[in-house]
Amino acid sequence: MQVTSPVRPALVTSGKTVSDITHDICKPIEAPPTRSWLIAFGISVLVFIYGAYCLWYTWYEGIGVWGLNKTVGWAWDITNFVWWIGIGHAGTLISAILLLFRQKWRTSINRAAEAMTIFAVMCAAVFILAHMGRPWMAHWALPLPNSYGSLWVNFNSPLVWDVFAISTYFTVSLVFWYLGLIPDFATIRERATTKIRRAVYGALSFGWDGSAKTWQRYEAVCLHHLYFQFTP
Amino acid sequence: MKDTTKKYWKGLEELNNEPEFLKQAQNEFPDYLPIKESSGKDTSESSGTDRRDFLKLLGFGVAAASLAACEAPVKKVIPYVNKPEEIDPGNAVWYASTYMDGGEYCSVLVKTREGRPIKIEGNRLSKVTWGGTSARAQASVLSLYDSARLTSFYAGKSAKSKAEADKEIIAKLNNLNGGAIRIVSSTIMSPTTKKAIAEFAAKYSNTEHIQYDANSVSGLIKANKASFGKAVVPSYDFSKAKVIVSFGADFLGTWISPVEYAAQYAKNKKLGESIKKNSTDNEFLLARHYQVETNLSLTGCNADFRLPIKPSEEGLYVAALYNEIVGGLSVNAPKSEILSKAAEDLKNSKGKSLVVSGSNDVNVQILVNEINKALGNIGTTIDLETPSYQRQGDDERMAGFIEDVKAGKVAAVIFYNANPVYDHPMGKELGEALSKVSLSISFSDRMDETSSKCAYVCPDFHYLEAWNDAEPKKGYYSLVQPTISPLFKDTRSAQESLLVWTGNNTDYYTYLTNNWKQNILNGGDWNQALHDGVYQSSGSTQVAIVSETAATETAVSTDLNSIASAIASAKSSGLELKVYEKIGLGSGSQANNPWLQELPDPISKATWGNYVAVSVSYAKDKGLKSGDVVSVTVDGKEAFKLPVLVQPGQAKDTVSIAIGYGRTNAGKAGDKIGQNVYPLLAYSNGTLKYNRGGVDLKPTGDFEEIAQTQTHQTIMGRAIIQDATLPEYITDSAAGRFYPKVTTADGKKVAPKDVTVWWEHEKPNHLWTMVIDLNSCIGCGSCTISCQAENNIPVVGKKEVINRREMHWLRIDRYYSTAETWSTKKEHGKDKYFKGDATAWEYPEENPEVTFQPMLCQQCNHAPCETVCPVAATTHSSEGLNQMAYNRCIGTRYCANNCPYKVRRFNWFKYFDNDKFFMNTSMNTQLGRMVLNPDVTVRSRGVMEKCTFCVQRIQEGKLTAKKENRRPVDGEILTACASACPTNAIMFGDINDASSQVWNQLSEENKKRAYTVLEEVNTRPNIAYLTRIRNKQA
Repeated sequence: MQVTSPVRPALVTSGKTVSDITHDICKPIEAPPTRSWLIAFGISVLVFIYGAYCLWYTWYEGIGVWGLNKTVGWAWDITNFVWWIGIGHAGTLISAILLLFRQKWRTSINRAAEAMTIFAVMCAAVFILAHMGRPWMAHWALPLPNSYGSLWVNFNSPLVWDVFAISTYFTVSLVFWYLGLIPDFATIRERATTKIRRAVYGALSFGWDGSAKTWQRYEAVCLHHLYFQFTP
Repeated sequence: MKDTTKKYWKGLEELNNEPEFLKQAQNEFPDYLPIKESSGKDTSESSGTDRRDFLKLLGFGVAAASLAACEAPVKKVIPYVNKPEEIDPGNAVWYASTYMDGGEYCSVLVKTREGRPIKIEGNRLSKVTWGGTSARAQASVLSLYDSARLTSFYAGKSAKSKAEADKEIIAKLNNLNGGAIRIVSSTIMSPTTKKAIAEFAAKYSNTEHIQYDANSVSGLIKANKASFGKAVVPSYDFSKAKVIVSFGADFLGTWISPVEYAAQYAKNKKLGESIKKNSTDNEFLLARHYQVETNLSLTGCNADFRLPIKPSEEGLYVAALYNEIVGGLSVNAPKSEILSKAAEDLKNSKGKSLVVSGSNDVNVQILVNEINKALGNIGTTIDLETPSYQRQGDDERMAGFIEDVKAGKVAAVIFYNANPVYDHPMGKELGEALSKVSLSISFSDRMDETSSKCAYVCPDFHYLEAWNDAEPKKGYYSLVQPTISPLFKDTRSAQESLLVWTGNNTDYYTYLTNNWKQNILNGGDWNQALHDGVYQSSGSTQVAIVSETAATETAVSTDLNSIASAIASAKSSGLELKVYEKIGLGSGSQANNPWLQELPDPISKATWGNYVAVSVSYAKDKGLKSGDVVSVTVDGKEAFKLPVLVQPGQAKDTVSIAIGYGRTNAGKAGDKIGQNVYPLLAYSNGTLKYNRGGVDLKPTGDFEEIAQTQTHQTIMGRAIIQDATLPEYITDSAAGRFYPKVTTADGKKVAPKDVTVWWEHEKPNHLWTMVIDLNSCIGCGSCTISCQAENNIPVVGKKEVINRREMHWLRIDRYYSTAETWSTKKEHGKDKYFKGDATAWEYPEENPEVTFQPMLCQQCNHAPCETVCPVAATTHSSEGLNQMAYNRCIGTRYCANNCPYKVRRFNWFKYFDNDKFFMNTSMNTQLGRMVLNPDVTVRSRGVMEKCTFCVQRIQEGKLTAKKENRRPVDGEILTACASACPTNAIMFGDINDASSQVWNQLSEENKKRAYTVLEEVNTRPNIAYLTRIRNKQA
């Protein structure tokens, strides 16, 4: 039953109830995959396999299989990296900036947008690893404790700033996305029929109980911390 | 908590004070939990492995498994059982030797490590080459470790032992019944070898020794016989000449004795404050050099004035010069301002000038001799009393020999250091006719074009494993000694083979020392001579070439008028071909040396192949661009197909093709590279002619990219090269200097070095600095090969060079001048070339001025590469070096992107143990690996590398000095490039040492000439360049 009021228009229209909405949204998760999903998935897997082969070929043979030379050290690798980060920004724009500007229509797309940001940043990170001459030592770009006389990374280098920036961006996007998902995971948890589903979604929903107090804390975290502090 | 009468208890047991509880009350851990403390005695009570034990075992098992998996690779180190006394692992042992290949000569020191030679340096004690080396001399260390070398004697295609081959050969030699025996070789400078040949000739009658050169100066020798009565090449002294006029003689690159001439030439190219002060003739403070030639040669690039001509007109221009100086020849001599100016200068420098010609036409050389005679140069810059023995080839006798073979008149032939089937124009016919010779032997070290057609191949030693001697000039001797035991014990020194066949079983070492002690040393000490590598002695024991009969010698007339008319008739119209020699491959004998194949040609920067060089105007007329494949037709018949290269400086209506390419039997790296142009040489009037008419180029429509390392020809108006003319320099030492200024926030213009955000690095001890004198750099490329040998730099092959990935740390940039200036740029306006921006400067002029600039890591004090490496793999040392830590590099290539000089190199592939790079023999064959320098890491794939200022040499030098309790002395520590340079253009030292050469140059002598490249970027390099000063009016 949805609560309607004379002050504002009904949220759910065209004869559907609130519980109908819940059914519709949970259906893709609870029902077996549809035919069109399987076809799309199949195509994606093929493209993925080709991509994985290309990556393996680069890592196996060397950066020489790319078209770079002694004067041009970066070409498609950095261009594509920046492009994927740009794509990712679109997701952040939708979820954070549009929220700050109180554009309520963003909620129809912000879940997908944020998910896309995360995968876009992962794609960008792939190029970071792919373009290295010796990617098996990529962890040296991170300021991890070590026994090489304790060697730090070179903080003067814009690439290290990139490491911090991209990892922060990724973490923040992940947190944004996850926080938004918590109430929805709880919904699925409540409707879960098998033990595994209940356990997994139970863990993911982080103990969400839907109470007013919880909602209030949730709004505070989202608005003040995520949107005001992290977005900039 | 206050005292309270409330009682608290944990359980009923405590409340009721049950005995069980009381017993356990004192234990911290009451015994309710099933933890069994296993005492060694009660093992029977333990119930197997419980939880903690299981975890312990699991942890240990995982650790053990992972430790076992992380096994370090097992390396076998085998110590000496009996250590050879002279060899200390880690310390180099040096030997003096001589690099010789036909007439090429360079006195060298060979650095050996653990018994194998790895590096060639020049021998400073030589009064011929003065410590310089050529690119080919530097690369010769790799040809020792060539897998194409035969490992034993061969009879036909099957291996034969030395003893068996000797038996058969001696038997055959004895059964010739007076048949003609011919020993065909390239120029032999070794008196002892000639002695051995003489002994052979004495034993076997009817033996003649014929010398021929693939790059012949037979015409010069014949002319000298006619003009002076001496059939020799004279010694030239370019250092005594204030005016040099060269008609096509590439004396700095390939003509006769380039290392020697470069060292002499450079003496008159040095400038400085003290030189200016002590000058007696300001106009000739520098030598003035005129070059009259067809293709842009290395020497032509260094000339002050250059006149492009057609090769058939060379004689006419010489005649014109003769008329200007002496007069009286009735020829239709062409008029040329440059030539008139040259004549003027020559007349004013009698006895201090030099006119040379690279022509093989006897008539032209006779005229040149007359000019030199008139100028009084004979005896000063031209010394006939000390002849050069570096070219002794006789084209006529060689042609006669080939005719004899074709006619079946030769019974036996022995080829020594000669490959005429490849490098003689009649080679194909000779190869077909060799089957008529009953005994054919070749001493070649591989199955080359000639030896594969011989009955026996008895491979000679490489010079680095052999005993020998050399006499490049009369009275100047040098020795060749082995630096490694012969690699293939079934091969033998050619001289020893000859001795064995003569019945003399002395080993060649004894034979050599006997000859020296009897005939050459004249009381001197053998050990001292061997130590020095060079020896000077009066009198010559050059044994004359056996049998000088040459009955068919063409008569040479010295009548100038008949010469003049002969010259005039030589002129032809239409497209002419000039055949020339490149500095890398020379005559082609070293074609299987990948270092030389990948050495960029100094002028065209092309590698791995030859091409047809055409002039800019020809290309424009015919619509050709570089890479278009044309069919080269001679007298209507197609010779071969070759790509075109548009070459500024090429004379109109001429094309040039280099010899040394198109080999079929050189080895894996050298076969099928380019086309063989030797068959196009003509033989007329007793000498080979390196130019001909009747040539046409027919476009085929195909395209073959030429592997060039530099495709950008001009400097686009940036002050990378700063040059001036001599009169400008005399007035102001800082002539040509460009002082960039940056504008600060308050509108002031300051020098870039006054504005910086970085703190300076501290350099408390040494500060390694390099000074490169652009006036002295001739562009020869010895430094490039020296660096490659010293630092284990891989060869990448033609395809990768086209992809712009060659690995040379040191490159020599070659800049052409352009006709566009700031003022003409404004005038041109809407010229079709000119788009209103600097594009017009991309086009070199037809006959440009050329400057060479060696470019290597500038070791910037404010290095743009150091700040951007994410893992700090490149850092700055406290001695001013920009260091590269290969093992830290993860290969992001940001440093290379940030380098304004583009001197960093990335390992795009694994270049070692990789079949795709089979041409990188120094890292892909067991034999080739022996040349690697153990002091320098071989870099793995994905790692950045660059010039290190030979830090391994710096460290070695510092250590040597430290062990002797002293500071390093200037000149002790030299980078590979600095020590290889024949003209001392690259100077290296410690600028914190006030007694060093670099300090002297930068603080006193050439302070005003010194500049850093791209000063406006404020990288503060440790390399200073000295402005190029040309001896001409502005």
